[in-house]
Parts: sequence; structure tokens; C-alpha cells
Amino acid sequence: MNKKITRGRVLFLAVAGAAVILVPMLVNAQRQDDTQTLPGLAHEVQRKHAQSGEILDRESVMKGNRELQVMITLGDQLWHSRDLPMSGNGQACNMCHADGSVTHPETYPKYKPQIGKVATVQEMMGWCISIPNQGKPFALGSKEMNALEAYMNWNNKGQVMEIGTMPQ
Amino acid sequence: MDEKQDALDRLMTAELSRRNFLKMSAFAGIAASVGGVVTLDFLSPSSAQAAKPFNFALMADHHTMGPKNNYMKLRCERAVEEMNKLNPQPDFLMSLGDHVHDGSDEQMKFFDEIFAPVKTKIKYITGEHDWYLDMGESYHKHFGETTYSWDQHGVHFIAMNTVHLRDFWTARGLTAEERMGYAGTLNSPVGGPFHVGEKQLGWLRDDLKKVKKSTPIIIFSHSPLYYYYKPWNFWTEDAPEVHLLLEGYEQVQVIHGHVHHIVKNRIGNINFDSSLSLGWPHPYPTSGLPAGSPQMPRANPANIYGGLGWELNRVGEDGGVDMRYHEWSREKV
Repeated sequence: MNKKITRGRVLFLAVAGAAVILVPMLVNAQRQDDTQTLPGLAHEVQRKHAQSGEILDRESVMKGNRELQVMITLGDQLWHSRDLPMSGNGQACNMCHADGSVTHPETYPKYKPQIGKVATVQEMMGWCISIPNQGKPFALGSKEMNALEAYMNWNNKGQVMEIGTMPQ
Repeated sequence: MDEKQDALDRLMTAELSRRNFLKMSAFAGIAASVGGVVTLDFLSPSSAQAAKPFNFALMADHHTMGPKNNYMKLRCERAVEEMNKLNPQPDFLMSLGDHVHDGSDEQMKFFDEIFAPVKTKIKYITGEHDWYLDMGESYHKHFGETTYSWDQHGVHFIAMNTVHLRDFWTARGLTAEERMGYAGTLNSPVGGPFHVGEKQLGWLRDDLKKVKKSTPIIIFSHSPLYYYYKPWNFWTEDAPEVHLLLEGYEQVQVIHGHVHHIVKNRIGNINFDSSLSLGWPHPYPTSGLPAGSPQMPRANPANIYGGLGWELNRVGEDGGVDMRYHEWSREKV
């Protein structure tokens, strides 16, 4: 009888001990999974609305993070693409602009002589796809164009917004 | 910006040489980085001697893609036309690799046809884009060997394949096209850094045994034979072993392609200069530029010749090389 009680206590303590150790690990792993982001992106799981100060729903914060990462990842693939209609001559964005370099999205909109007007960054990307890459540009505001812009801006994170300036 | 333009004006118009490099005081102001193992102790006179001064031409990184990319063809044709007008003709034309983009036999045939009218003799080395589709089979068929040396006018020339990559494809089960794609993507981390490799280091060790310390040496490589910027594979992992083999030689010049812009360096007794590209210009990386190196202004994407070109170089009596850049942004079409 005593042996059974002792065995039961040992079992209970083992299960409780394992739970004390494992549950926080599992919760933490889940949190890490939820909050895993590309380098340089926000890691917070809780966020206040910028204007109202209202604490945003955790799920909507997570959804926003996930969707942005999906777009950046799609943009990465498009940036390197040589086979889609966006590249008519085998030239990819990445060849002249590895890692989104010398794109300077922080300087747009600005006057572009080759377009002949003040152009947004998506209009400039459309020009690059049409002329140097001799391809068919995506529509302004399309998922693909937004993805390209997301990838480019993620690579240029930290630049100071300087509309219309000549980049240094 | 004015400083950069001023430095570039001097770079393009003066014969930028080892001797007048330090006189370009603007370089100090435009250097983006002060890192790296660089010494600027190369004003001491060299006793190295070449038999007589001579010229050779350079071109690099054409990345021709066949008929689907007419811009690439136009740039190559312009280079051929300009080189054929040289009088006297250069002793030879060295092509520093990445002649084609996707490594195929068809693209190399296309390249050969464009460059067939060149009057002077063309010598070749391989870039990664020429190699990783069929591991050099088409390269050898069209361009010959990758590792060789010769003596001319008192200078010992060395050509090497510096784009060896560790086997990243077998374990991953990649197709030849996938292997080429990873190896040929500038900022892909999959391929890892370039290597000269043990076999070639052994060849170089043997080759140098017959070269006197006073003989000027000019080495052609595709990748920079030093550590420039690893994320874009402007990097040759075992370059320091090459530097060790070259210790004690009085006049050593390395000329490389791959970076698609002008960059200069000096490590110990070795000068490093890059060639312009005939394909497209690469921007400068955010770090790693050797101290004292000039920077080209950003190319205008609306000019299909912007930031591109080729070189006609002069080897002086001491075996030093004056790099003369024919950069097309500065010339009317």
C-alpha cells in the first residue's frame, strides 16, 4: 500500500516537474514561431494603435507581420526573376540592384527625366522593368508591384525619408 | 559629389598608375571605408624591369545571353569596333571571364561570333557564369585552358581560374541549371566564397619557381584576389595563400573582373585593379571598399552604355601597369 502511494507520488512529481519545464518551453517556442520575422522587422506581439493608443488585437498584429513577410519573400523572388514576363531580356532587378542597393526609395516621389514627370517609386520600377529589362511591368498597386516595393524598402530600412533629393 | 566627379575625371583622363596613385589626393576624401589590410608604402622605386613598354587591352563581364538580349550584343559590338580602331593594335586582348551569363554552348557560340572580327589575339580566363552549367566543358571547347602562364616583353603573365566553389550541389541534388543559378547569383549565400584551390596553388608554386624576383608579374583573375565584400562574393577565400607565394617579387599586379566597377587596392607588394564590365554596372557595396580606392559615380540607367567599358593598359619599363579606362558614360555615342 505504502509502495503504491510512494510510486504514485513519484509519478505525480515527475509529470508535474516535466510540465513545469516543458510547458514554458512549448509556449516560448510557439511565441517564437508567432513572432519570427525577417531581420530588421518589428518583433513585438502587442502594439498600440499609433493615433488612438488603443491596444491592438494580438491576432491582427501577428497577421500583419506574417502578411508583410509573405510579401517581402515574394518580392525577393520577383527581384531575382529572369523568366517571368517582367524580364524580356533575361535581366533581373537583382543584377544592377543586389539587395535593393542604389534604388533609394526614400527619395521618391521625384522628377525622373526618362519618365518626364514626378514619379512614384512604383512608376520608376515600372520604367526599369520596361526599358532596361525590356519586360512587361505589373500594374501599379498590384500584389506583385507591392511585393517588389516591400522587398526593396525592407532592404533600405533605416534610410531617412528625403523626398526629391539626390542620394549621397 | 564634386569630389567624386573630380576624382573620376582624373581617373579617366590621366593614366592612372601605381606611380601617380597617391598624388590623387581626392581619393582620401572619397574613400568609403578605412578598413582592410592596406598599406600605402609603394612609392619606393622598384628595380623590376621589363624589356620594352607595350600595350594590352582588357575586357570583362560581358554576360551575353544570346539574341534575347540585344543590349548586351550592342555593348560588345561597340567594344569590338573601338578596339579594332586602335593603331597600333595592342599585343593581346585579355577577357576576364563571365563572357556569357548562363554557361551554355549556344551563348558561347553567340559570343564567339560577336568577337570573331577582333584583330588582336584574345586570351581568356573563366568566370563563374562560364563554368557552373557544365563544369567547364563548354568553356574549354570555346576558350581553351583556364590556368596558364607565358612570358612576353620581360613580363611573366599568369592566368588563373579563381572561381572554384565547394561542392554545394551534390548533397542538395541540384540540376545543372540550378547549380548555375545559385553560383551565378551575386548575393546568394548557397555557393559560398570562391577559391583558387589546392591544385592550382601547387601549380602557381611550381610556376613561380622559374621566375626571378626582379621579373614583373601580371596576374589575371576573375574574382578579386583579396577580401572585398563577402555578401556579394567579392571574395576569394584562399587569396592570402596566393599573396604568400608572391612575397619577395618586386613588381606584382593583379587585374580582376567580377565586380563590374572600378576598385583599387594594395596589399604588401601587390597592386590590385579591377576591369570595367561590358554587361551592367554593379553599385559599390555598403562596406569593404579598400582604403584609398576611387569610386565611380552611379551609372545612369537610361544610358545603355552607362558605367560600362573596357581598358587599354600600358606596361611601363619597370613592368608597372597604367590602367586606362574607356568608360562610356563619359563619351558621346
